[in-house]
Amino acid sequence: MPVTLPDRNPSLLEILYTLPTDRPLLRSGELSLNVGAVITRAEALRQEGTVQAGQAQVLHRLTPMDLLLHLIAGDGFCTHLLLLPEDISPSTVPQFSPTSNATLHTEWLLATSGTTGTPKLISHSLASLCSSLKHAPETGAQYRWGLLYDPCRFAGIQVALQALCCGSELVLPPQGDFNAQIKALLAAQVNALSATPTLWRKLLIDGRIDGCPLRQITLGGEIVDQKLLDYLQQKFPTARISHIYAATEIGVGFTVTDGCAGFPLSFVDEGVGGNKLRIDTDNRLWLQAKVSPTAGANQERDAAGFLNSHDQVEVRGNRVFFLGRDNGTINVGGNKVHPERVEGVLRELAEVLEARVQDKKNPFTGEIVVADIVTVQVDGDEALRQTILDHCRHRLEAWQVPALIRFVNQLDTSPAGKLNRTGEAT
Amino acid sequence: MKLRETIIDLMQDVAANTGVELTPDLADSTALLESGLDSLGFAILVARLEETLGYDPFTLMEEPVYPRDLGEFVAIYARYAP
Repeated sequence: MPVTLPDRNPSLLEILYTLPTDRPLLRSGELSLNVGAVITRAEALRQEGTVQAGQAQVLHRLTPMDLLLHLIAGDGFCTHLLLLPEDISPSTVPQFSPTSNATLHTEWLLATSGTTGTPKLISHSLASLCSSLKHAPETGAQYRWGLLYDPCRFAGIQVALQALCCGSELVLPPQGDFNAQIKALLAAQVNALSATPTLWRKLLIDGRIDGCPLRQITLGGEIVDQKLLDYLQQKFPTARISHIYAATEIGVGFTVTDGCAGFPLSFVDEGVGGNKLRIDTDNRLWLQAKVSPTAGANQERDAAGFLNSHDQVEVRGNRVFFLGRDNGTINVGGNKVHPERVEGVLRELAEVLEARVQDKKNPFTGEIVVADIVTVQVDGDEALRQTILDHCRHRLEAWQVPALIRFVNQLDTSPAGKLNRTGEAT
Repeated sequence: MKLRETIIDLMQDVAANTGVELTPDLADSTALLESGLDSLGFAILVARLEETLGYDPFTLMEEPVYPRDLGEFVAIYARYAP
């Protein structure tokens, strides 16, 4: 007999209680758990004290399956759930003080990378994380999702919650091994998949994804281009294609399903899904979410409660297009790069007098990092280029290393002496 | 064919700069993602090729094409050569 949900916001476990117990829910390798088995394991985590009532729970370096079971056990039970991606050490996380003992509305803390590399914690509730998800357990059984994102991060959590809340099976391929991921998706015959545009391009170039009967294709994390949307629709003519505008700091802004890049101007004029949008005089997008993340460091809100997205947009006719970040942050295949950081590393070399790092559009990763360099020696040469690249490889992540190094005579500066980021090098 | 040589030379260069090795028996039928370069490697390759050849066919093309193997990749560059 179906259990009805309580009037207040239900916890994840309460949501699972309403689903048919024999419905497949989580799959990882040979292990397949139905709703009943997931509930049993989550309840056991509570009973044996692995997940503790009224405490903050730090979740770090768990397998995706274990992470999800801990989240299901901890929501509505722990005061806080702190999700730490593998590459962030618990010791670098700023201290947070639990603001209340209320466990009914567990605070989910998701890490996002800050400018200096110190992670910021963005506080969400299950309600804010699920506010844009479709609650449709009746049709949930028709979908089988593949999880390609890190389940510790916002995008991964969105896919996981979409599956759990609707009772759709969630397939968890091994992380970090593309071949193994494809094989797992094919073996399970996944029919719903969410990935960044860069990952979608990789999947299409690989070609094996054709073997999945995709009916839901979701894109996010980077600006989506029309060519990719057209190609996906051609390849999977019966699939519904959605691209999502979301960020850890904002939650989900909106979803576009009309097959076109950008989004309709009507979203700004009339709002969308209970959220309101505004474009300021500098062509920056501001967002007021119906259910917003509860708090976060350095979040810029105006008097009306709109949050600054720091995304630059352009209105063409009745469509709004994304141009990039207003603070110059470069997005390489979904990975953020701060130009100032790369410039700092370049200047560590004695041969480099000055450096300016910018983005350049790229058909494979959306954007790529390029560097204009003024050198001590009269002409830059191949040997110096190698020295610079080797240095960057030792000091930076792969996607932060400049793809192009251009030797220039000088770099424009503003009257205040700052690097002119929009100018061309002479 | 000179274009194919240029592309493979730059692939070697990008591989060396990103600390990977190209597959030793690189052929037209080699799948791009099995060549040794990953998505980021190809992104860098396309940028370097634009710097060397003066054009980027993926930006020029009206209809999107996602090449599967090295042969298709080279053919795209040949088709859009100015």
